Amino acid sequence: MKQLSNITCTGCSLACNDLVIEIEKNKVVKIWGSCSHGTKRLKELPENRVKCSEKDTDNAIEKAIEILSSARKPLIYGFNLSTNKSIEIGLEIASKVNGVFDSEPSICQLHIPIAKEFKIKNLRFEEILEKSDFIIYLFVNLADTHLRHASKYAVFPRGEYVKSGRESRIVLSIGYRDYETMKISQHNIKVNIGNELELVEKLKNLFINEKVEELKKFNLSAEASMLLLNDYRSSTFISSFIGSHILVNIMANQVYRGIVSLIKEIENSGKISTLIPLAEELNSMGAAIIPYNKYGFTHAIEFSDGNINYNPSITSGIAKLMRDEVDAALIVGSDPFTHLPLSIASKLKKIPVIYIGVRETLTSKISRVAIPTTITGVESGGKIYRTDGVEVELTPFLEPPSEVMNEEDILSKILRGL
Amino acid sequence: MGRGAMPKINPMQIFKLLPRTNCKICGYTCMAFAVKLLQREVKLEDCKPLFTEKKYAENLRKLQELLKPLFEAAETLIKIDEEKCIGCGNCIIACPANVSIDPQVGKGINPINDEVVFTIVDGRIKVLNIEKCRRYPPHRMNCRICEEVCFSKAIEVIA
Repeated sequence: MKQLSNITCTGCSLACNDLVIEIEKNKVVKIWGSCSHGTKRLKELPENRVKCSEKDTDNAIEKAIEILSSARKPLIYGFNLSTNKSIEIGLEIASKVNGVFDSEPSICQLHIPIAKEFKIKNLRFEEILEKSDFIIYLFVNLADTHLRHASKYAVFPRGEYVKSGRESRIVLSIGYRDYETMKISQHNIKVNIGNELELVEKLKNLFINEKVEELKKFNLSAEASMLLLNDYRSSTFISSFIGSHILVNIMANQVYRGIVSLIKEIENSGKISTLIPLAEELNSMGAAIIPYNKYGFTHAIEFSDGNINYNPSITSGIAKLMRDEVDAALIVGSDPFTHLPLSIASKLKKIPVIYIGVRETLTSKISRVAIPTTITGVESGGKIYRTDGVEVELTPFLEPPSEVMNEEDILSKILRGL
Repeated sequence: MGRGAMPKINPMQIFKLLPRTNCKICGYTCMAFAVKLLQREVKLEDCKPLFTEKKYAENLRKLQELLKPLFEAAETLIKIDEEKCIGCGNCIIACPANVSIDPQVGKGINPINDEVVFTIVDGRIKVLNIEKCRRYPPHRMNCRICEEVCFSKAIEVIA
């Protein structure tokens, strides 16, 4: 039995790096510090690993190359659980085969691309831990997605300028219903779908113009507004975290713009202000940052003979599938057949699908070629982007099963063969 | 904040169900007995009339029902449901006793030494040294920070 410390968790995009694990016979038997999401990923290794559809991985790769090179417009999709290098290779493949590169942020995590596109200043979690005295959670319930965010990075830790941790910090939680996050916040605002923009305007009025009024629509009395303003006035470092719940609004884009302008006005008023999107899966952030740094767009990028086309309503994976405009698909570490609407998912059945992933899913079942991979961060290493945009190195601690290659090698072999 | 500041079982609730005769067979007045009962310094069986006289049978049943969670809880009068725990670690980092034992905890790092009050193991809360909790008798403090910050209602302060 051996004990390893400072292991990075791969359960979500927070990449907590203080885990201690005990390994026996190539199996994790005990973990200190991981939340239930992390425990599930590190300890309960998938029993139903996907089986290679061909004789061996090399044959499967050859078949994948065949499908991709004969396709007119393939869809390259997934990458939420991939390393940065895999994403880079995925982009190169898409560019080489004149395909469409898309990842999950285009469907369910729109807050990531939008916050990136608006070029909001991103500060590191470590800086927020040490200095931030006013924290705003916008449309995110930590108890569902980012379990350790409050205890590891934001609310509870004692920092250089916030000596008493939670007692020195003010937390404002904004959401659609009674979030568990509201249990740890001093100020809570519940908003109905459709009223978000109005709330942002009212908050701007309160914080910037110091106009105190009763907000009946948001169940906020004049006293509560006054209290919120007082807390805001006495703070210097305001960190906002935005989650994906906002997507229920059809006007999500406008609401983002409103929020971004609020954050910028707070910054202009002399306070430090930052907005960090809370991505959900391990490298959702990388899947948005890498294409953005390379091509200026975070998702839904269509390549055609060296040109780039970006128009999410036409070039996203969903739109392309809906219009029958893609004739093959390379799915990397994702399960679109399960989480896309049935009418769109069923289109995947009509085209040859190459699935590269760890476990058996519905997508792997309908795929023509299935290639098993190692588990990123557990059986193979690499670099990922934490949700605040910091690059984190993952070190593997378990031996992968024999004949299973890691994602980076599989993708680079495919790229070489094209 | 400040939710659940009132104890869930209060002495008055217990007192109302006791015989209220101040017979002092147990050594205390009925009010004092109710307070001691809540602190788990005496047992319900110490009140003899409650068990011997038939007219108190209904009250006895109600009392047993009321005090059931109290006697199921630990010495700190905290009941922890590990099944409900999601491992967020809010309680671990917020706990003042934990931070004073292991200063690393104050920086948001989950403790791995055996000295702390509790820690997170395998995604669930694990109590290691209950006697270091601020609520441990006899010098009990009315600290309930762990219950206040718990996302999943896994920690419940009984009284």
